[in-house]
Parts: sequence; C-alpha cells; structure tokens
Amino acid sequence: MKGIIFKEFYISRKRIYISIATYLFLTLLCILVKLSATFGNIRLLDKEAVDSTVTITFYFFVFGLLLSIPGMLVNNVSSDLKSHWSIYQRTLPFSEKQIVSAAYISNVVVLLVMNVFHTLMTAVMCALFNKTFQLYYIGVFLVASLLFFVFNAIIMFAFYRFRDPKKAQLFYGAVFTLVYLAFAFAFVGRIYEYDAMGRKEGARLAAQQGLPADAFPPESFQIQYIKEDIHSLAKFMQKFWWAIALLFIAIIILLFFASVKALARPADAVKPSKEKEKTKQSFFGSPRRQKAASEGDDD
Amino acid sequence: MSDYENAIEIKNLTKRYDGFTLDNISFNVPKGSIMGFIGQNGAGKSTTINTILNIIKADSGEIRVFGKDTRTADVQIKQDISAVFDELPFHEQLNAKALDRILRHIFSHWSSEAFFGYLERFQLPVKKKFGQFSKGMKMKLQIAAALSHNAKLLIMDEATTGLDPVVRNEILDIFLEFLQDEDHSILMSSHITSDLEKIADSVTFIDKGRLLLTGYKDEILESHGVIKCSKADYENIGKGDIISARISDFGVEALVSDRQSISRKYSGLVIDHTTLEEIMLFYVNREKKEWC
Repeated sequence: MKGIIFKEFYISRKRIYISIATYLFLTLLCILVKLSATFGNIRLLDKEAVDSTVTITFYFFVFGLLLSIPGMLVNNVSSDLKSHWSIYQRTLPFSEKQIVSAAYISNVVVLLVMNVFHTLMTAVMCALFNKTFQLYYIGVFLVASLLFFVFNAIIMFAFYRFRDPKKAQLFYGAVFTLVYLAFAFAFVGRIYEYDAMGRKEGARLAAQQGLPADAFPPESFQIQYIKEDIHSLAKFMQKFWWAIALLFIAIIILLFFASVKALARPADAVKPSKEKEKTKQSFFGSPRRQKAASEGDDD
Repeated sequence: MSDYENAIEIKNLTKRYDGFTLDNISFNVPKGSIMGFIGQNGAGKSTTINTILNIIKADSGEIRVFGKDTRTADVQIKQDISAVFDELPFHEQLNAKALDRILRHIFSHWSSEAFFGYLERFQLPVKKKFGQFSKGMKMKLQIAAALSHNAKLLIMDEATTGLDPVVRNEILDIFLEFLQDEDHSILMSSHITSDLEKIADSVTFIDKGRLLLTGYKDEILESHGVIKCSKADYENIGKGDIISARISDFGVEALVSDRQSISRKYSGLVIDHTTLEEIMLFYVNREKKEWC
C-alpha cells in the first residue's frame, strides 16, 4: 500500500507545491499588512480603520487560508483512468479496500499535517496580531478540513462508480449543485424572513413612536439580523463543532465503503460510453492503433 | 505454491456480452512453458486474459493460477503475476526512477537492480517522463517492470505489437531467459505468429469466442499441412478432409489437420509443412470452406 500512497503524492505533487506556495504567499501578505499597520503606511490611517484592517487580515489568515487546503488533497482517480493505471492496479496484489484506503490515507495525512501546521501558524499569528488563541479555531479547522474531505470523497466515489470522466463529472456536479441550491434556497428564505421580521419590527416601532407605518423600512433591520445570525452560527460552531465533525466523518466512512464496493465491480460491469463502444467494434481496436495501422505500424 | 503442474488452468470458461460470447473455453498453460495465444481481433483473447487477471468476471467456469482458484486467492496470487498490456498503464508524468519507488513498495520481491539493469539493456532513460516515450520504449518499459519482481507468471496481451523486429527479437530473447527458471511460465497473446513460432512451447487458438486448437506447437505444426494442387486435383479431395481452401488463378491451397492420414488417403498430393499464420488464416475461413 505504501507504493500506491507514494504514487498518489507523486502524481499530485505539483498541485500540492502550488497550494503550499499560495498558502505561504498569503501568509507573507498578512504579515506585511500587520507590519504596515505597525510601522508603515496603514499606520497613518485613523485608529478605527487600522484596527479593522488588522482584524480582517487576522481572520482572513485564520479562516480564509483554509481555502488553500483543497488544492493539497489527493485525488488521482481521474488520471488513473486516463493512464490505464486503473486497469493495471487490478493486476497488483491489493484488494479494492486497500486501493481506496491508500487514497483516503493520503488525504488524512495531508489534512493532519495541514491542521497541525495551520494551528501552529495561527498561534504565531495570534502573537503577532496581539489576539488571543481561541480553542474553537482548532474545531473550525477540523470541520473545514473534513468538509473538503467529504467533497473530495464524493468526487473519488463518482470516478470509482462510473469510471468515465464525463459521467463522473455529471454526477458530482449534480451533487454539488444540489448542495449549493439547498444553501441558496435556505439563504433566500432567510432573507424573506428578515423582510417579514423587519416589517413587523418597523410597524411596532412606528406604532410605539406614533410615526407613519412606513417610517422604518424593513431593510434597515437586515444588517442587524444578519449579524445576529452570524453570531448564532459562530456560537453553534463553538459549541457543536464536534457534532458536525462526527457527521462529516460518518459521511466519509459511508463514501469509503461505497467506493470500495464501486471499485470491486469488474471492469465490464460498467457500461462503456457510446464512443468507447464504437472503438471496440472497430477492427484495429483503439483509435491510436487504427492510426498506427494506417501508417503501417501495426501487424 | 510449487506443487502445481499448470501455471494456468482454465475449465469451461464462459463470458457473455451483447453480441459476443466466450464459449466454454478450456486450456492449460503448463508450468515452465510459454503458451502463444492466437486469434484475430475480437476473438476473445483479451477477454480470456482479463478474466484470468480478475479484471472482468466470468459468467461460469473455473480459473486456477498456480493451482489456486483466482476467485478466492486473487490478492495472494497476484504477487507472482506480471501483466503486460498493449497500452502503457503508468502515468505520463512519472519517470523510471519514480516508478521504481512505487513498485518497490508494491511487490515484495521487487528488485531495483534488475529493473535498472533492464532499463540499461533496453537503453531507456531513467529520468525522462513516460509521456515522452515512443511506443517501443513504452512497451520495453512495461516488460522491464514486469520482469523485475520475480514473477512466476507473465501474462501479455499484444505486448509485442507495434515493436520493430529488432526490439521484438531482443524481447523474445529475454523471455527465453526468463523461462530458464522452470517455475516461470508465460501466456502471450499476439498477432505476430512468427514470434510465437520462434519461442512458444504450446499454442491456443480461439476464434469468435470458441476454442479451435490447443496443444503443443510442434505437434500442431506437425499434424497440419497445406495441400498445394491444381483445381482439377482439388475436385477429387473430399471436402470433409480439409479445414478450408484458398482458390486462386494459380491453383488451390487447402489446409488439412491430419497430414499423415491425408497423405496416405491421397497419394501423390503435395502436402507442405505449414505455419501458425496459415493455420490461423485457414481456420478463420473454415465456415466459408472455399475462399480467394
């Protein structure tokens, strides 16, 4: 299994290097902003602007840089299919469980290393930005990492299941669109709720102060409601991050077994695409061999 | 694992597809021998090989490798099997050095020394990415990898197709070296019957999913023969005595499967020795019986 894990990292190494470089570049940028706020041009702004710049930069580092993690995750099922490795690996002395495990272990390693590294970097940045290190940060890092892992596991499952890039992309594209739509509908629904709540509150205040009913437009309360929601969400995360983490872990375990089952199906269990069927029917086999044959390079 | 007679035993293997059936195939690859697996495109060679390797699942029948059922001892068996396909199964961004590091951790008997030795022998670069390799280089690389983990069984699906004769010859020599160890066996599917004639001990010939011939190559070549005669002489030969006949303006060539009895039956007829290619050609046209 060590060999497959090495292969996973070797194939993904360029993407990992780019993600690490992006992470380090953005970290450097955050440090430069802080230095500028202490010694440079940003210091010349008014105190409130300096404080908010420093705070935004700090939180950008703590939470925003988590977005560089997905680029470091390992997922080569698509290139395994393209390079015919997926067929070759069936001739190797590994069970399907071991093959899927190798991909999952590679991802766990990346996430563990990144979580530890980002936690240490956050501790350093807390010292630099004069902020207190909050323990729930670790929970948020873990939840974010697991969320990325869930998305990656869905993509891997799609390739193991369909063994055809187009069908796999269609599958995970549909899953992600559904997730996005669910959040989008929830958000739009909440905006309508803000509006209804704002109308009610505006009418109540207007009646209380003897003003016309439209004296307080509902939009004027929206920001307050959004702030309250974000605050509630943050509180929920602080309190129940472990529950969300457990939910994600459960999804990952389910996807692992589904992937093993999908991979265990023999190669001919997957219906070939029409393009492939055409190729199979042709006398000389693959288009490349047809070309070679036409050039007299085939027997 | 050494107390087995046949490296591969296939009994009544059947696999049905829409429009194609691999029908009740049975043959053995004796330990320490090389078997040529021939048949035209779409005959079912790759299907058979893929079922041996458990890449696809047979509908019925039994496959034993090193005496063990592949359905139950698949992972254990694969440590001692090497498969070579007509397409390079390694990522294009890999190079030989990286491949060595991968396969070293996959096969318990992997020998980096042997692998780099083969690379040197085949004049393959160690640091060049596989994406920049030619077809011949890719095939040589696959063979180098296949021979470097002390596998007991080498299964090749059209491995020498697309290689020039010099390289093919070199590779055939390596296969013969590989067979010096009496525990080693090879199953090799190929269109290039001349290669098989050169190195195969036994031959299995399938057509349209059905087994036509299996046995020792020398016996097959010895028993078969090609009658070369005029059209008038051909008319006197019973159609049941021939596999099929090629009729041209210059005369008739007809394949017979029992040269000695035919020669006794039709004295005076010229029956030449034949080749695997001719056998394949005449058998493929057996349903037409007469062809041009």
